[in-house]
Amino acid sequence: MPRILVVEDNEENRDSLARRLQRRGFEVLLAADGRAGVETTKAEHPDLVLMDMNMPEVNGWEATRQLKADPATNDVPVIALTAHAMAGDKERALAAGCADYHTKPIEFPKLMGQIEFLLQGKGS
Amino acid sequence: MDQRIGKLATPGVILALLVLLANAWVAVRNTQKLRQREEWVRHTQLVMTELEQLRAGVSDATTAQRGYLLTGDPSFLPPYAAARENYLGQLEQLSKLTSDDAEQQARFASLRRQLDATFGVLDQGITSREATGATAAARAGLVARGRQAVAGVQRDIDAARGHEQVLLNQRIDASKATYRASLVSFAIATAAAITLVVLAYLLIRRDEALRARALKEQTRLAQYNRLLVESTGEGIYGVDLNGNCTFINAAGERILGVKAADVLDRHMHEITHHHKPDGSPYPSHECPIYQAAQGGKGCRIDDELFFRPDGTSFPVEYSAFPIINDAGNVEGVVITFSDITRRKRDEEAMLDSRERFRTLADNIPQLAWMADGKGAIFWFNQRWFEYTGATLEQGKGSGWTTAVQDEYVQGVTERFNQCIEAGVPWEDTFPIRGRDGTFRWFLTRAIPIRNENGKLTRWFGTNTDVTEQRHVEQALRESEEHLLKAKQEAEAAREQAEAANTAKSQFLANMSHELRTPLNAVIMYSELLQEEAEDKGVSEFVPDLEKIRAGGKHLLALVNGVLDLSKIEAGRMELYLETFDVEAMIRDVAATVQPLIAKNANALELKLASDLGAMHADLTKVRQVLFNLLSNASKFTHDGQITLAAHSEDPDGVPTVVFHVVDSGIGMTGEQLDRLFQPFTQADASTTRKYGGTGLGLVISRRFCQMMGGDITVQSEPGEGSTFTVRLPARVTKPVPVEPTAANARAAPAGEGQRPTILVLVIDDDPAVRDIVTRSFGEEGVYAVAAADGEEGLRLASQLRPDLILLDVLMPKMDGWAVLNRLKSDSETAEIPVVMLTITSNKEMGYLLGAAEYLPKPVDRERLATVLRRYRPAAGARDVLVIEDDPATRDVLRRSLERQGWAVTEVANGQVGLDAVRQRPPVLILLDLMMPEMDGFEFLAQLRQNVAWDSIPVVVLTSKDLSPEERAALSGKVERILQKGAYSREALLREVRKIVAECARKVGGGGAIPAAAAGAAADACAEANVPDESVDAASDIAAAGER
Repeated sequence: MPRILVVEDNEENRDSLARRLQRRGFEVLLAADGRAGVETTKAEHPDLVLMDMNMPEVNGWEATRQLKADPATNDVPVIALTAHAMAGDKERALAAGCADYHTKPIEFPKLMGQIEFLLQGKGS
Repeated sequence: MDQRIGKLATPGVILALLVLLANAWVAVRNTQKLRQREEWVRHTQLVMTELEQLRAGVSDATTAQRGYLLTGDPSFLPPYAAARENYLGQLEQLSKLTSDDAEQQARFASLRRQLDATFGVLDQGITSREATGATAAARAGLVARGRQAVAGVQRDIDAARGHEQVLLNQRIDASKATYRASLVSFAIATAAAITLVVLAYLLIRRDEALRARALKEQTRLAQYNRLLVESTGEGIYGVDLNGNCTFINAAGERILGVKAADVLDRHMHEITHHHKPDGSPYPSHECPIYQAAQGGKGCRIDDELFFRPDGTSFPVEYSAFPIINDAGNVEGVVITFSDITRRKRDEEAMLDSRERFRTLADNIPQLAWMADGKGAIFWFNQRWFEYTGATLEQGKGSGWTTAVQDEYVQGVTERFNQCIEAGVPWEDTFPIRGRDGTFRWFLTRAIPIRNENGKLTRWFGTNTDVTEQRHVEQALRESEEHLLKAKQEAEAAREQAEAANTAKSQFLANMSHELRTPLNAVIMYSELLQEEAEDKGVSEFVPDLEKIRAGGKHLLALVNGVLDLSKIEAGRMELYLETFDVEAMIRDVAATVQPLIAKNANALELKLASDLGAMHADLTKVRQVLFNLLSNASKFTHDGQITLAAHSEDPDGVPTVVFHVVDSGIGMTGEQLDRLFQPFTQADASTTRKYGGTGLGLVISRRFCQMMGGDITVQSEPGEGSTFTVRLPARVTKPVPVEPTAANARAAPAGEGQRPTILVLVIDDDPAVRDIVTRSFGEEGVYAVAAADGEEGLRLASQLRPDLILLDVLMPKMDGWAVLNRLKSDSETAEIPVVMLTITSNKEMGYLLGAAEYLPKPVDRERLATVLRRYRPAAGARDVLVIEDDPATRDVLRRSLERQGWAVTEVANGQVGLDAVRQRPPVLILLDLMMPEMDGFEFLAQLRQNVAWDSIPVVVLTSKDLSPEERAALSGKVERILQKGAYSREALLREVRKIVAECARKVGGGGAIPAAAAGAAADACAEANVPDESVDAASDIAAAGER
């Protein structure tokens, strides 16, 4: 089953998202900040990363850039999650190399669609 | 030189003459002396000659005696006797000659005695010889004795002679001296004479020079006088004692209008002075000129007339001066005169103006006065006297100050004096006592008057009664103070309110932001629990979990609404105006809201006027408003009817679109209506519990309408349902400030939603079919417009010119075949492929009529997808040019468009873009604004200069926050402006694809599809989910900034 890394500093959000993903049968890895997210990605090489962009210290933007700059990890698709649909965030996310973008609060079915699309694309 | 000569000449001549005279006298004297001296010399020489002869006689006598003695020869005796005879005579002669010389006289007396003695001796000798014949020895003795006697005599004679010789020498010397003196005298006389001659010459020369100079001066003076006489502006003429003209100068000729030749020797009085100013004849003996001649005294006259030969006259000022000769007799009169017409006129004017001034000054309502340069008043107008009751004597000088109220006198005087010193106008206000003793306030204004040299010579002042004005001003000032105070209070209150409002908006924005994170958890966990509860078979939890989730969702909607409101109130909500088709928009909203309507078993009816046409407004907001009203209506209505009606009006010349949303629901009381548009209040708190909703939708909707220059009104009766009326200008021109203000409005994001790339018109009476098309394929770039019957379908087909038409065969009124027939017979729609939806399988009929394909009902999703794919607009003929410097964005755009079958050319800046256009003009250009080398603005400017490219639609894609100026610059040149920051990648791409499709269609078919029409549906699908933009505006701007 595909492995998804959830990088999210808010514990409730991280937990609920992880559990819902696990219910869909995904194997879920967790990271509480950008640095951990990058390290976990390198170490575990998940199939997909859900990256909260608004985090302390190394934020999602920076983490994504690091992942995309590293040949070992740049093939891992990243879906950016931001707390608000701020104008410019989409552009920034795309510029940072994100494959897709999701606005919080999470609409789970829509997110599932995005995940499935990316994983299918990868698989095929 | 000449002067020195002049000074010295006269005494020189006198001196020389005196010298000459003296010398003449000296010369005469010298001559006389010389003659005397010569006489004396001759006299002395005579004496000496006599003495010589005496000596010779003595000698002869001696010789003869000796001879005789020796020889005894008597022949010797006669000579002896002769000599003996002569000596006495000779002595006598000598004595006479030397009578002036006592020494010689004495000497001669002695000599006579000696001679007598000698001759006695000699005679004795002779006698002795004669007598004795004497021996030799005796003879010798006799000779020696004779010799002895003679020697003595001879010695005396020599002594006398020596004396004479001394005298002679003396006299010759004296004569020589006299001669020398004569020579000196002559030399002096000569020098004096030469001096005299030289001086005489010089004097003559000098005299001549002086004479020449005098003549020259005289000539010059004469010339000068003539020039003076001729050049002066004054007329001058002279008359003799008879009054006849002796001369007249040029000015005189000119002024009198005469020629000198005509008046010379003529009686001037008769020519020019014959009448008095009063017109009476002027006898010449009364004429002052005549009297000047008679009396020998000059006169000056300035009130008479001179006449010209032509009969005209002029006022004249003249002076007559008698000409008095050396003898003191009057020889004639010189008259100088000038025409004083202008002076007289000026004087009259002056007099006139003075008169007028007096009249004016006495009649103005003010008091008026005049003072000299030092401020001493010498004149008041009549008003002054009337008001103060004082006389000129009392008021003049500084007497007027007694009329000033005591306490003001000092200050007034000081200020006036300051102004006098500075020479500046004086303005002052102080009370002046009237004749009745009461004081009134006067505004005093005085101006300094200067003469042509700038010297302050006068003051003219007025005093205006301002007593009433002061009262009014006082009252005004007081009320102004009140007003100012009130204004300041109001201002302070307003500032306070604004500050509070800003703080509130900020607080709400922050709070909303903070609220979202926990909300996320609430929703997520409730959804999670619902799923888990179902899985674990504890379904009794599910309804409660659903309530938690719904509560979370509601809270989220509330937060979004609050954000919208705070944005509006912070003036950050911006209108994005575009032109769209009203009916298409309404139908789209209706389709979107349909599920909600259906939920409460309501029916939606559209009542649209046929002339709705297009409107220019913020499409997203209009949609949101209608959606909100419709969803409210369905929320409060069950099993009822909901009507959306629209028509155009033109009240007051402003074309207006009016929408009515009518429901048959619970309605509202008056009290509820009053609170309806207040934030956070629903008609009734209980309704919130019963019906949900944020209570913000109406408030936001109303604000949106107000921003566009319209409004929402409501009519309702409890139990009778409600009617909401939206009125919007058909052409919204500029954002209307919604309180507090929308001045700083920024670009509003468009909602997310499905964006089509193929426009499908579904003509079917079955909502389910319409729904499957619009719902199922939104994600695949299919945009569907639904028509419920054939008529509407035909209209939309003609208007929208879709890529594909899905046409139901079995419809009420007009069936599918009829519609197909009509579509194919209209040249505008004939080319549109039509897919027939039918339960029957009368394929031949369809193909015969021109149908492209058949789809059997019920419609299978997969088959429909295949058909839609097949009829996507063909790609081959359509080139899209993407001008964008960011490779990533460019690449995404290209791939996205290529998937839709577009031929995309990518370029990195405007310059290359122009080259590309030149090579192969595209049907559409996607343009970034901020690029190196040539930016989007410049590219557009150049593109639009070329007529051939003028119609190429350009869609601007920018993350730049456009200023109003930039928007204006782009206006009319571009099809649309997409803010990159306002969309997710998918949304942006969908939007681009949609617009590209629309533009291409427009270019290709020439139909009138408003670019916005398609966007309407998409927006509606986004529901009221307006992305929050206000929260992190700073990071938003930073992120949106051009690379």
